[in-house]
Amino acid sequence: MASKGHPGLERLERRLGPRTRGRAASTALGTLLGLAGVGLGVLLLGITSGASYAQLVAAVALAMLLGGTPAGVAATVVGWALGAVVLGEPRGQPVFGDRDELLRWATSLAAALVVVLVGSSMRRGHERAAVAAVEAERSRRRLEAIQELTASLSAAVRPADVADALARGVAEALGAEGGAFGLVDGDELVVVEAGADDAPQRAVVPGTRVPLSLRAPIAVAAREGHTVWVDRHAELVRAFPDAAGLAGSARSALAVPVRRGETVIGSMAFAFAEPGAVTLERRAVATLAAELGGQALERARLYELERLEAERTGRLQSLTAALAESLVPADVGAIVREHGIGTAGADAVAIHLVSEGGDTLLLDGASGVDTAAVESLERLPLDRGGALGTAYTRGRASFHPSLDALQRDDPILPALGAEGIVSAAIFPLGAARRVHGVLLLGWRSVQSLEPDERAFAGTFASQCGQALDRAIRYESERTIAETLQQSVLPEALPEVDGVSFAARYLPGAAAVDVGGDWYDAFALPGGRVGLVVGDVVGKGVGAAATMGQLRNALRAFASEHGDPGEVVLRLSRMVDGLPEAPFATLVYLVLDVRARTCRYVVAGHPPPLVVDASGRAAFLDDGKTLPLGVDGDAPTQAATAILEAGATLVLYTDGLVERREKTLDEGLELVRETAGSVDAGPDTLVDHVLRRVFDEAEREDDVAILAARLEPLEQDVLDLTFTADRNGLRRMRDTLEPWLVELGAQAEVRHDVLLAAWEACANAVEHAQGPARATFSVNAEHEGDLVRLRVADTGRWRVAGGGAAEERGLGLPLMRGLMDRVDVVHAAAGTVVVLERRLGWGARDASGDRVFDPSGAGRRLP
Amino acid sequence: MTANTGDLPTTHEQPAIEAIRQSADVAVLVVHGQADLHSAPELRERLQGVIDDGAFHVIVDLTDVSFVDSMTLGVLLGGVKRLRPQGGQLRVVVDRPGLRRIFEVTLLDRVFTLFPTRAEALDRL
Repeated sequence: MASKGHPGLERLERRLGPRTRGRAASTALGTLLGLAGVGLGVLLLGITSGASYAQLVAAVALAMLLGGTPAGVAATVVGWALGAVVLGEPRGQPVFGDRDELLRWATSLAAALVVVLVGSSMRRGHERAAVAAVEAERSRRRLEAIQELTASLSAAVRPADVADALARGVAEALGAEGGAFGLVDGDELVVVEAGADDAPQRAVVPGTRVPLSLRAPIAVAAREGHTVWVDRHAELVRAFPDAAGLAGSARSALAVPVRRGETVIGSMAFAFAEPGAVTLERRAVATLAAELGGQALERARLYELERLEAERTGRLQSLTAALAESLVPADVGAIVREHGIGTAGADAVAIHLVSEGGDTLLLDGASGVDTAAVESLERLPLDRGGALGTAYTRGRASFHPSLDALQRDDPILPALGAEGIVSAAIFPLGAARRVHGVLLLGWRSVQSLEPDERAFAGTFASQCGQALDRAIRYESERTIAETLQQSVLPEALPEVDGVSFAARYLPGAAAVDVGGDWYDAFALPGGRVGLVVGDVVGKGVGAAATMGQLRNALRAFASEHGDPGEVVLRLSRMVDGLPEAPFATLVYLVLDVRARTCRYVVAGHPPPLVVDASGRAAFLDDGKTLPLGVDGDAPTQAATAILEAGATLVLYTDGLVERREKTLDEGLELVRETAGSVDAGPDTLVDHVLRRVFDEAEREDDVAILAARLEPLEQDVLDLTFTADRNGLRRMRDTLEPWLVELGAQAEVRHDVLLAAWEACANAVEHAQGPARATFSVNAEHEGDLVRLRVADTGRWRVAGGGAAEERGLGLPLMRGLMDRVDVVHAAAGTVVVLERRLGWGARDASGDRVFDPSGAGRRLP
Repeated sequence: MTANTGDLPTTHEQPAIEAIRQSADVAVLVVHGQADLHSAPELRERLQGVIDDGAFHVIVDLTDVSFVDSMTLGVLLGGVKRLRPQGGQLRVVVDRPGLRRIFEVTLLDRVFTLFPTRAEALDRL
């Protein structure tokens, strides 16, 4: 026995088991005893002469009662016939001699009756037990079937599984020939599942739709919401004429409604081959199964919704992820077209964006369609209306399970018709109050577009719209920022004799933000050049605007103040005064081309790099101050550096040296090393550095780089080093004089230049107090008739003072009197004097008398 | 100067300055060769010497000098400052235009009186 472990059932089986086995034997014994009783009864009737027919019938009835079975009845009839014969034949010859004998016979009969009664009673008890056992077995099977049904309903996760479990499982539990399960859909019933093995039942195939008004049990149960059954074929045919064909050879039929809560959502119907099969128990089982089925259906529906929701969420997440990486409208469009088919499940996708004039929708792109077919969608003037135009102007989505609802002259109809699209959904694309276009999703199969589907498609369109809005705003901001940035960067680098420039600005590559990096180079009075590289913290329009302010302010301050420290201090104060003080770093460097010196300030910025003609590269590590926007009154002291002919200054922003995977020092070292390995003009150097640095790593931030190279020495240039003593001075003069003669300098001019040079070198000798073999260098060059001398030593001039002040103090005025220009530059490494004089080549102004001008301006007398 | 005077005795050329006592209160210093930072200490000494000896006016003759530097000018300026309180004069004889310009561009031609010849310098004293 297939025990399901129910304790009551097991008990029942234990009790019934042995009796069931002895049932056949007890039935046989009861029948035998019954026959014997009948025989005796007949004999008794025969003996009892004069008995009336009524008595005879009573006796036969008693015998039948005793016999109780059809076989017993038959035996009684036969016994009665025999008795009649016996009664007729021995007429006149008494069978019983006397009363005693009669008494003995009566006693025997009584005993026999007792035996018959006992036997009959025994047989009946056995029979009842056997019937109960059969019934118990049936109940057990039904219980089992219900248990199986319950189990299979619990396991059914999809509505289809539930339907299958109901149609087959309930039919089995009921012992029905077949069953069908249908769901209400409007005023129709959709047969979801039909579980039947015999051919006629196959006529009811899943998917069949029957009207609820059908005169069949399944429809009536669904329509009226109560159990319906018939017990006889004739009744079935009469009450449910439409079911005759459906139910085939059924003699009984039972239909129960299936509910979700109070609502009837469907019904189940079962057919039985025998009449009268619809017992109370079967109805109870069917009702229970319907209840269980309704719950399972609801569970499966919820599960299905949840699964669908999860799956949609997953698809939307993939869309979100893809959209997050696209910042350009064109990218967003491509992703929407791709996901419109992949994620939203449409067959065709079209995106329209509004024209700049705002009066026309222009096809941005379409997928899943033939390009030629959608040509008519290219331009849709908004004043022509139509579903797309309405979605745009009203900013509301519209759903079209059928295109019949569209206006007949809707401009999109021809294209949709050509593409075989039968259902469509149309959404405005954009964010709150900023609609940029319209999204069309089309299907080639009819879509009911249920509320949950609409919600999903709506979410899809909303995500796409927000991404598009973001991209469009981003692009416009980027365009503005780029324009601002371009306007901040100089159109051309200045043309200054003796120096060549190169500059690059590279926008960030990974992030497409426009940064606040800029460079600037401008000529200053006195053959000087201002070089700036700066970085405003932040991105976009704000940073670009701040950059413009700083650039202009710096230029203005630079034209008023020669000292970079003063310029940066003023800039810093100005930044402090701005309403939202920006934070910026910069290098400002004033290059004196003729003196080959520079003064610079580094405000929280990576240090400028100097690469000399021989490829030695070093950072200018002095002149540091706080970034702008930190403390407007931070002390700002410019530092000075002496440069060699052919040296290149490289100013840059942190994007060049900052690497995620490297330390700042490593980044600086890479730039230093690379710059030092290039023996070429600034253009080549800059390109080489950028290539080398960004060959290794993706450029994330934007980068500005500016290089200025002092021209290398020409052939006819003197570049000599002398010992800082009397002999060195003499040799200097002896070397310089023939060089001046060679240039065609007149004696008088030669004298002036030599004396000025002497004075400059005398200072150098005087300062050379440190190392034993101090030196000074003289460097002489000319541009046309302009002679330029640079005298550099390694000491610092002492400030004139003390008793011999007047003796020493005449050197500088003398130089200024003799030369057109005198610059004295003190740097940490030493002092440089730059002297300039036009040779005049003999055509010197006759009135060119020079005067001692304590201010050092070297004016000529009027 | 202090650092470089040490090598002067060994490398110095012929005695570059001769002093001529022209009269009781006029002395002439004739400078030869180059009047530069190397010879300046000697010039200072000699100038000091004649003033100490009672010279009221001093004539510095640079006719034979090919080169004058700022140190020499400084020494001469020092002499003027010594003489001027007593009403004395320092006259400079210079005839080369190049040297003359040195005084002119430093405006020292307004401090010293320049004469093209020693005779003219001595003339109206």
